[in-house]
Amino acid sequence: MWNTFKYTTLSIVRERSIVIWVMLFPLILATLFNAMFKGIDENAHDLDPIPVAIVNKSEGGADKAFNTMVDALSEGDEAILAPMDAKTDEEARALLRDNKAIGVVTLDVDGWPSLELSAVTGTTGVSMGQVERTVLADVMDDFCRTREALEDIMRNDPQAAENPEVVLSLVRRDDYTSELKITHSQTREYVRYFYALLGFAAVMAANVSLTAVGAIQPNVSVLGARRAIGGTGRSRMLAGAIAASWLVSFLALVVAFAYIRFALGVEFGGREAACVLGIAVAALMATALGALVGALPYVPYTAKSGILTGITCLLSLFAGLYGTPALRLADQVAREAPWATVVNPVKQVSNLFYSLYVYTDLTPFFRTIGVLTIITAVLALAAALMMRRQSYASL
Amino acid sequence: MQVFKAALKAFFRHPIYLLIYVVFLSCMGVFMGMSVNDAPSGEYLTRPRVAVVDRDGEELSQGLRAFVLGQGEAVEVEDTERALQDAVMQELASYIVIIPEGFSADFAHAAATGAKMPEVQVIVSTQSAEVTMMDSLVDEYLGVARTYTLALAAASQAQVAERTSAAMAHTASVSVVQATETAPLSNAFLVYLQFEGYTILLSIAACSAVVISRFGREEMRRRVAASPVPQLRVNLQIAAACLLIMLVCWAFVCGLGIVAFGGRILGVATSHIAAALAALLCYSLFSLAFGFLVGQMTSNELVMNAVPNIVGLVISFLGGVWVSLDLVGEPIVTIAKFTPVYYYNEAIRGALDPACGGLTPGVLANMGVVCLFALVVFCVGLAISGIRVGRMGVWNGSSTKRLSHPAA
Repeated sequence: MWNTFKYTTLSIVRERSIVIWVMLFPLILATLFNAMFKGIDENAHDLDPIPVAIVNKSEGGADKAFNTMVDALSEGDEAILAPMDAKTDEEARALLRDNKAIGVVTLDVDGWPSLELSAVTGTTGVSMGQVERTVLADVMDDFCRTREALEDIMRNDPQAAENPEVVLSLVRRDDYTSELKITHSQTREYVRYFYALLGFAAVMAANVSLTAVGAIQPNVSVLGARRAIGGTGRSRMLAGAIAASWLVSFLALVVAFAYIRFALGVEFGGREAACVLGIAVAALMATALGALVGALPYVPYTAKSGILTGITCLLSLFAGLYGTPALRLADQVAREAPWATVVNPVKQVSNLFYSLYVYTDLTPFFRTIGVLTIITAVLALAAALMMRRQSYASL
Repeated sequence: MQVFKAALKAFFRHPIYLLIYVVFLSCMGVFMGMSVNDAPSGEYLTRPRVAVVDRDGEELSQGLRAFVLGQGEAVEVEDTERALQDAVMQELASYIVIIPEGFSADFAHAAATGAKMPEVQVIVSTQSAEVTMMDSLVDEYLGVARTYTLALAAASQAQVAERTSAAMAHTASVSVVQATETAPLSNAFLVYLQFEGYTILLSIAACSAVVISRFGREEMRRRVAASPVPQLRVNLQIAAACLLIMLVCWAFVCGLGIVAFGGRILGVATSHIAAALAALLCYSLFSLAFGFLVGQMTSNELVMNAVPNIVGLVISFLGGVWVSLDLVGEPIVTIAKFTPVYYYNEAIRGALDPACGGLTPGVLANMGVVCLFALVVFCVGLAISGIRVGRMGVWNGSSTKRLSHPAA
């Protein structure tokens, strides 16, 4: 068995496709994620002044308060608005149509604003265009609410309106919120892509055992046929191949994890030891999955990798690997059909890391370990049943 | 036509590729598209899923609770640490306000005396622009409440809360203007086409690589080279078979999209949809060229699966298909311009633009750049093919011919 283990390990690490899938792929994609998502975090608060056309139809100086607000918001380095005066509705609409403005504010005769926004099209997930439109609408709402409150006080409590503290209170902007951290680490969305990537990499590591198991099956590969007539028993060869596959998968995933954690600085809640334990279980699951796909009868060996790739790509969609819309879809599925996440190994591996990041105690982590162990047991059992007593080349 | 038929036969011996890559993966795009709302005007403004844990229970807290829950999709969350962590972990609520016990009384006292105002606690699933905007709304509500508390010194807290909520209900009228009379672009269909950029690269590249690698094996090349059919004719027939496979993949993706999103693109100008599908055809050509390149580089099917998948993922992320490029830094945008996905994405967005879509010069230019990418990748593949043939000693066609027909 030792020899089987030793030579299976050597043959796996010499296999080019394994090196690409299991070792290079997570490193390449993690580097890309790091470049893209760290950029998003850095640019999150860089909002350029929002171009807005203003059509003023107010009369009798009713626009005074609005103009004061616009002037305040369009001056200085941290200006929010870039106002453009338009004489007519048509002129404003032309600015909107030519993408020179994203919104048109029309002041009615009493100086109350209404807002027309150009449509946001062709966006996947949240875009800066949506953020800008929301900010613009919020600014208009803020103005309307503040003015309404002031006029209400002036109408119903005129003495109070003479109190300068009341007026000052209306224009003052204080912070009334403080972030409460109930999670183990400060939550950042981009870390979830790295966790989904590790889930994807873990399942793709099934290619290792697919190759190793294929190499001992006489009806699958020439090498397997040659080995079948050797003196080593089939179960011993299988045990050696499975052990070697697990070791290679585990080491490859640990390398990917170490790169993401230490080279890219992605947080795992400071629980690196638990992460390694999680990786060990994930590698075991991948090994069982690869053995099952490798044991599928009536499917050519060369097509099995295609099956594995297809399954992994689909499962990764529901783990949120493919960007913002996929993450939203994964969350939606998790909310509305929780059973779908329980049977999705990519999502479960991703949850392993996310639960370490979010929860203060380790119970959810060990629960996920339990789920992965059950998945592994089911896959291994199915693989054993398929490999057992297969008949081939019979008369 | 024998080679053409043999190439197709080689491909159909692997129906699993057709099933998994073309049918199965294309369905991923349908899932993605279906998950996107073709939003009416209000939903252009993004709001998080919100929850409020009111430990105070007084009138002001109730007013704040009602206001916050009215701003986004309201969800209920239990007031336990585990439930709150679950809400964050499972994205049940991405913005949770906790109003501490005694908040209203502390608020009234601080507003009247000028002491430091109390704060509500906020739990967020992830820091984002939407969260910052929700913070501003909470600040706004409590700012107006403070003003009313000052102004109505003798009034009860219930009156303060009532008048604050009434003032906060006053908002500007907001509408979204469509630039043209035609139906607006279906975001679902666009997301489908964007996602299919990834799946079609995988399916065409993997399927064509299977065929090309079959004929690229050394033994097969030698056998074909020894046959009386000129190498050029052999290559052309293989190319025709791959082209047919590409067209089948493209037609399937187009048909699936039209069937799945037919209801959502009703009213969208036919020329706009046709232009977008033409852009997908250009991208399919790139995928075919990429498959040709991979087929020249290896005959290992594991590698043929791995390389298009990795390259597809990388260029799809870089090209702005899955993450909006206006959120990432300028260096990434510059790198994105070196990927065909960027131009494909620009082409379909331009083609489906309700105001000025269709086959506009801009769309044609982007499609042209995608075709140029295809040409470059194809040329690299040809160069590799040439090197491989040269290594087998059949590079010089004329000398082979002389050796084959010494009598002539």
